[in-house]
Amino acid sequence: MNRHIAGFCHMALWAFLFLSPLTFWRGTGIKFVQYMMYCMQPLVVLIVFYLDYLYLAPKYFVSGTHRYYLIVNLILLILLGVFLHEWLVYTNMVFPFPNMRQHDAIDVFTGILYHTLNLAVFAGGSTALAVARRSVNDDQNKKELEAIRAKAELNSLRSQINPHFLLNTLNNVYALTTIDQKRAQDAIQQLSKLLRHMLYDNQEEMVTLSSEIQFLESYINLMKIRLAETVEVTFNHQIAKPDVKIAPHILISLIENAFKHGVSPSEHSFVHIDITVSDKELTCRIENSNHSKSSQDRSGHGIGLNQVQRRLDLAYPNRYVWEKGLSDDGTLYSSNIKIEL
Amino acid sequence: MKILCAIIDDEPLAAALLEGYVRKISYLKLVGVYNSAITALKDLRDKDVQLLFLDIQMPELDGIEFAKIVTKGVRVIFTTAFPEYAIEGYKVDALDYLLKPIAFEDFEKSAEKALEWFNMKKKQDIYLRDRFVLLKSDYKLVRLNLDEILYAEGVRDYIRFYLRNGETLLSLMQIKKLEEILPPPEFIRVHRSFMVHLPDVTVFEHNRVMVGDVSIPVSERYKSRIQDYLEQHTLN
Repeated sequence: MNRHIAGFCHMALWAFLFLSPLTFWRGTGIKFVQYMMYCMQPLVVLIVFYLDYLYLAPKYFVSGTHRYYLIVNLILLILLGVFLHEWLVYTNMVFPFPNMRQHDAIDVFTGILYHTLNLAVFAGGSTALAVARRSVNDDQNKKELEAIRAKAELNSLRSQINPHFLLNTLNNVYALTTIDQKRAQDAIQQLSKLLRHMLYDNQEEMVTLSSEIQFLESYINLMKIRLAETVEVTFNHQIAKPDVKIAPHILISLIENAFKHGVSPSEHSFVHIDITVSDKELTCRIENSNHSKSSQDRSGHGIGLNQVQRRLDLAYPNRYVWEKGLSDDGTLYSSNIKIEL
Repeated sequence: MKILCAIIDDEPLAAALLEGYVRKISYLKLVGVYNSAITALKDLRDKDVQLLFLDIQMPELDGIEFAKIVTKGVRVIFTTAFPEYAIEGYKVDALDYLLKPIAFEDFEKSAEKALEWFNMKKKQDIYLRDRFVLLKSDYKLVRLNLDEILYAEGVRDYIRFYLRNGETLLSLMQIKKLEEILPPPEFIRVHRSFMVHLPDVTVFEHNRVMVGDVSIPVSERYKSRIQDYLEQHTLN
């Protein structure tokens, strides 16, 4: 669209410069041949304009080598000024000073100066135009790049699978194969469900709630394999509408966090997860015992809590409430999230 | 001889797998399996244990820290899923490093390594206690009192011992093997072909040491070994 408008402006300018003499042609006795000769002047202007616009300005002015730009333009404009002056003298259309004495040095000089300055105005204008066009293009590119980057960020936020989680889980499954084959088979099935969700469903912007819940279930079951039996893990969910779509992998980060800080091999530990989904609202309550010192990464996902905030802001701007924090005695951590669907 | 060992891994299954492996190896005797590093630390204080199969990434206390705390005689074999900890593991003088998932064959190799080390250690302890070794020289088995040795020089496949009474003794042995038998800090290797009895060194110079009036070269590679000794004992 912009391109068409710009093209039209160019055409209009040249039409005006070339055709304007025709508007007062009638009755002046100027012949067509003379008009054609007059056309040399706008023709030279046209050459200067596009030479600057398309070549000199982008190559020298924008890139910062202003010196070359000035020198080349100066030489060009003086030569063309001389040429135009000589052309008009030769064709006897001595313009703009009809009374000019042909061999008066000052008149010759002012004539050349007039043409040179005239061309300089166009050269300057075309350069300004070229610079403006370039900065508009830069802005557009920047915006496009930003859009691409935001999309890439979203994708990576969605799709990161923590290699530590994967390796740790595989190691546990490996151990299970020698200890309890039935459980090992179950674990492999859970892992394959989890991977399928991560690798495929995850690529969608929105996933069905049932698929997300199944993913959480697989994750929790795999975590349970790795934990001592003394750790209490509960997962309750009441889903009114399993087909409703939600942004994937927001809740998982919270659950991972609960496992990360909530499990201690020597002290009483628990992780309780409750998810309720009504027609309009998703509520997720997570409570876990708090054991501050934990070097182990139980995350199934490379996403920290601050990134969860970012995900929520991107997917549910102003449509969520998230409360989290430690209980007064520091033994219980809870994270409650409400999302308008 | 049985090696007393314990397993410490916060993941019950990982520990259970190793437990099964340990029971398959006749010379390993299990004294404890722990899912908590803290519990292990408390419990093992009252137990005789020589070898630990120790996970690195654990809550509460990580394996590297754990290894730094345990008594010096206890050797550690690290078990972890993450090779990036290997370098740190070797810094705390780990005997070996097992990458999860651990196959029995790899576990067995590590255990053999431990057995070798403990056997060697046992011999070394006996040599040090009785202050002599028996070695073959000229088709005879001769007694060599450790206190007799001034220094030893490797000559091709042989080692020539220079003794306090001025005599020498030639035996078919690699200097690397000798290094395992004669323990530091009393005996220290200072050069590709020299070991010295440190109490007999009277002068330390930039690239040589003097034993009596004999000059023995010290090469760059082995310099660090006497460095500690020098730092500990230098008066000014």
